Amino acid sequence: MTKHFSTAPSPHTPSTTSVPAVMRRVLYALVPAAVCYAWFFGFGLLLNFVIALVTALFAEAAVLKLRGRGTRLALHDGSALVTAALLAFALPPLVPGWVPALGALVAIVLAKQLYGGLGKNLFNPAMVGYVFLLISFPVEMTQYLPPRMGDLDYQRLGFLATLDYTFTGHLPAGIGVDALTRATPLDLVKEGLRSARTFAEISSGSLFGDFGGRGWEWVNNFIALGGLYLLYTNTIRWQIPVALLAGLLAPATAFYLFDTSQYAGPGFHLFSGATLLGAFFIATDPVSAAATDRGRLIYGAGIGIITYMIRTWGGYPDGIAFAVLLMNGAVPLIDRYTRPRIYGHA
Amino acid sequence: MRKPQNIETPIGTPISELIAFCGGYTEDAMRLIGGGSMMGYALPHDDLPIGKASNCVIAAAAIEVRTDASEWPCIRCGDCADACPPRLQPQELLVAAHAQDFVAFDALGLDDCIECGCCDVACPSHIPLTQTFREAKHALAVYRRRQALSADAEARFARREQRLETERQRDRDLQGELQRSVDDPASRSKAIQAALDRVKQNRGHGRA
Repeated sequence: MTKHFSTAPSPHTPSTTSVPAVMRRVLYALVPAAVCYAWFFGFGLLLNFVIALVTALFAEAAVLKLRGRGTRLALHDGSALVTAALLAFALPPLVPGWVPALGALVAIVLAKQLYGGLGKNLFNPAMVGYVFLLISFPVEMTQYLPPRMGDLDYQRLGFLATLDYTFTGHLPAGIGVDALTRATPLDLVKEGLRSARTFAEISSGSLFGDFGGRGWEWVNNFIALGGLYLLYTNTIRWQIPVALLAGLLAPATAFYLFDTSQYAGPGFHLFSGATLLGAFFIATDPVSAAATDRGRLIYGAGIGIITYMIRTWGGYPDGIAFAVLLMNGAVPLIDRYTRPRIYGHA
Repeated sequence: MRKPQNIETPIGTPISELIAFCGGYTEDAMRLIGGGSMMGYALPHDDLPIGKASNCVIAAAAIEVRTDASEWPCIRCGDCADACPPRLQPQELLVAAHAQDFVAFDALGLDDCIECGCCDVACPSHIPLTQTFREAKHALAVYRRRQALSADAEARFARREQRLETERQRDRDLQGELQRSVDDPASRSKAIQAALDRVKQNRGHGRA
């Protein structure tokens, strides 16, 4: 007896992974670093993440509705989650609640949905949101907290006080914002070198550890660990992180060896600011990064070199976000000229 | 099928016979594939023969084939490019296919796609890349045929224009020649004399 079947085009083998699975792996990879960050710098990171996430999801749903697109798949793909998480990591740990909300709004609406949504954005949404905030609100965006270390003199806010400050802007009686916040190690080095102090002198300060800032070193260790997990699970390729770190550390080493007093060392560059977060989590955003192997090397190296130039000679203490956005703009050109030779063609 | 196995069988054996020989279908069989699971064809029914090139028949269960219709946008991860044997950039081909950019197809090597299906399996967005490229190849063939036809038409038109121009030139030359013979008094009187001679001759014949 003839049996009938439904048909479909080949291949019949189902795909082994999915976009939400990729996004989930990125989030898992950030968890250890988030715990470490919260340990040293308080609950602000988690509050910023929640605020950014809620804003991002609402903004995404609203724009999708306006564009007449379905919201089911787009809201569950996990990309807003990753954008919110990266934005939260980029922000200072103690900021008024409207800062992460505004950043997420700009990231999702301006940088992502106006370009056509997931996969169409030329620029990294989290970095567009961050740079928008950094340029527009420099005061709020540069108030970093000192790490929780036994020997450091600082005042710390509890969870409720952090919550209160985030949503109402009120600090407990007798504490000003200036009493809570400190310059970041990158900022101290930049200002110190400008006022003719040597790097060794500056980095012997109480906020500095073995390589970068105290506390930050540990956060960066866990970020690197998350990055290795992403490499191990094939979520990201080695080319971008390796090229980025090489592009940053090669000039850093060269200039440091040229004059150890006037230039920060490679260890400091590696463990300070957003170097490792950028190398493993931000520059590797596949949508806005180069897609060919050779292109990834050029893209990563470009980010590293531009970051070094901004940190050393530019106006901002860190330059990962600007460097990523600049290289994002170069991606279509890079991809075009780095296509591999097609099999059988000369 | 219940007892999958390798069988030496005459060409022309119906697939239904082979399935029966292998213990019949399992309850969850939902797709019949002639060939492998990557490049084989889904068969509409089992009343078909084994051919010279048949290498495999698969009766696949629902969990073994792609049934989930959810498709996310391309995130340009490049997994497809890593999987592609001829080293194409499927993520760029997809954009070109959606835009029907026939010029880009050549630069991206659409013709070199072997339709192996590896990009589909690698794709985290579950985009039916191979099928998109098959359709794009078809559209490209139609486009090339149209291009060839219009190139032919253009050449034909140019040849016709040239021919008409040659004819017009010949007419103009003839006209000029006649005009010159009319304008020249010697040749005009010669022509008149010739005409008169003709008339005289005709009259002579008429009266005879």
